[in-house]
Amino acid sequence: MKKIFEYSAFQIVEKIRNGELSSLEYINALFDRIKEVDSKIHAYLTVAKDMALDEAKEIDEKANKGEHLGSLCGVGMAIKDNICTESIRTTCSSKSLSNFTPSYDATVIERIRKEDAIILGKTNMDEFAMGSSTEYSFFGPTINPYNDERVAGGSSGGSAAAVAISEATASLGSDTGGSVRCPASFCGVIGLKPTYGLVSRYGLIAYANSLEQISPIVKDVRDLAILLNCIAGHDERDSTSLKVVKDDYTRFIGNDIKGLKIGVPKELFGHGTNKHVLKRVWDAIHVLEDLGASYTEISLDSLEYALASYYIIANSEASSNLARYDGLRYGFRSDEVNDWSDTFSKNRREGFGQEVKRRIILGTFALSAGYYNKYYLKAQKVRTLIKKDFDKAFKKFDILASPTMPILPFKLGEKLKNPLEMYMCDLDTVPANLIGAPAISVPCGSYDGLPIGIQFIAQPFKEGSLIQVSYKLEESLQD
Amino acid sequence: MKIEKSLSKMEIKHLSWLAKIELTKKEEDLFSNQLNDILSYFQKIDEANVEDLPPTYHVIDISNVLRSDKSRPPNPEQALKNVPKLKGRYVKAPRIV
Repeated sequence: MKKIFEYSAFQIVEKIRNGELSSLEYINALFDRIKEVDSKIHAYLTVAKDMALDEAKEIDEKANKGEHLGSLCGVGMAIKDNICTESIRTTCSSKSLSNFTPSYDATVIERIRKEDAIILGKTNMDEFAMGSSTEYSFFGPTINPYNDERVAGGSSGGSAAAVAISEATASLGSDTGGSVRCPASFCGVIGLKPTYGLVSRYGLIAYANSLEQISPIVKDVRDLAILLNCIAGHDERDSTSLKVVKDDYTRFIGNDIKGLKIGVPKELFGHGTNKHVLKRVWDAIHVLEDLGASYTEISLDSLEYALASYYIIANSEASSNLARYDGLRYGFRSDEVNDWSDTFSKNRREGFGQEVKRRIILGTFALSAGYYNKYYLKAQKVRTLIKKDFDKAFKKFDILASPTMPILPFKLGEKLKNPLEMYMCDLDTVPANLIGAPAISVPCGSYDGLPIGIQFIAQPFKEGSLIQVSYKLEESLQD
Repeated sequence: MKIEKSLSKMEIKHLSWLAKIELTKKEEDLFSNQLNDILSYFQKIDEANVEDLPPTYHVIDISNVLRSDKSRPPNPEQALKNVPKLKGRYVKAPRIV
């Protein structure tokens, strides 16, 4: 029988609503679980136990009085440490923000709180979300729950590992080039990057603002629909938030997929892809075929430029976004030397880790006089080319399928010496960010105990199609 | 494909000055190799034919959102609580000139 902390969010909501479960008992069970496993996994940077227990008591009181309980009532959630939480330290896994406590909640936090979710704490990540393994954290790496010698993926490694090992029932991460789908794949859970502009970025500490979206990580597809219902929707405080009519994503649960057309881009099944990953992904595509979908292998030529284009754009935006960390009004401040310029440079030398420095320098280069046209402008034009290729594909296909990650979860330290090798891990995930399309990673089996994920990409605002196909796959693989 | 050696150590020094990040000697050496490897890979986009295409700076049309200019009660304590160096109610800044 399942233990309390292992339940899915929709089961918790149901049990609290019909009085079968006390919110306090369940939240206490989650904190016991954190105490039991987190010294090994290191998913959390900060736990907010007192606040969470008080909120759990309030929910129990509301339940006893028969008052309205929100769609996430009592659900214990972990939040990536680049999403601002009022009165809870928010570090971005950086020394430069290690003492930073926001004075306001991000919009997504307001929204999940309004639906009675409970925040358990803040999770580990690659510093400023720059990385694919959570090893670039100032506070040390998160460990893969399935194998203690391997990485959890990144940059939202803490959020994915916490859900995988039931230290949280659901979590929020952020996805700039695969930062939610990668750790979801490596940890055997579900991660969805929504359409750009669907979820408010207000209170998300910016890394690459034209690419990133706050993204849910969950144990099953039903939870995803409930959580997305809560966080999606226009926010006037974010100029990149779109005014779209809100959908009810739960209505896609259980719909059959007869006639669904799947495109399989060969560029996302490249030569370097691990053969066990290929096998499981193809097996999953055949499962969908058995359920009435059809697939066609296609070619999207421009995808060979996607990774280079992505990293040029992401690093350029990072170099501009991270210029604000001068250590004056908040953040790490070193001892004063000479003048403003030297002090500023020293604060940043001591406050930032190596990968952050590398990306800022690369971005500064790509934006600098003489190189702007060759790198930054060209990368943005390539983005248009890639978008055109996808637009064409989506005229013929409802969704595209591929491996989420071309490789299995790798060993800790394996890719730290060669940053380019780390970048290559993102080959299959970055295209969705470049074009602003929604993309999901769903578990589709494992090899040697290591989880493997399949990625589905849909055209913007077709999260419903992703939920529909993912639910059917999940249902079939559970049988 | 011709790979250009794009960044000298001098240029990295200059970039670190532009980016206001002091680098150690060790970092300059390390970055010099790593960044050139990465830039060689970035040159892949040189092959792409995009002559007639406009750039996509943003996938959506964005415009500024303006809110009404209403005053709110000040909260200096909250505004100053994360400041690392304070002198009274002032943020202590390094010498500028």
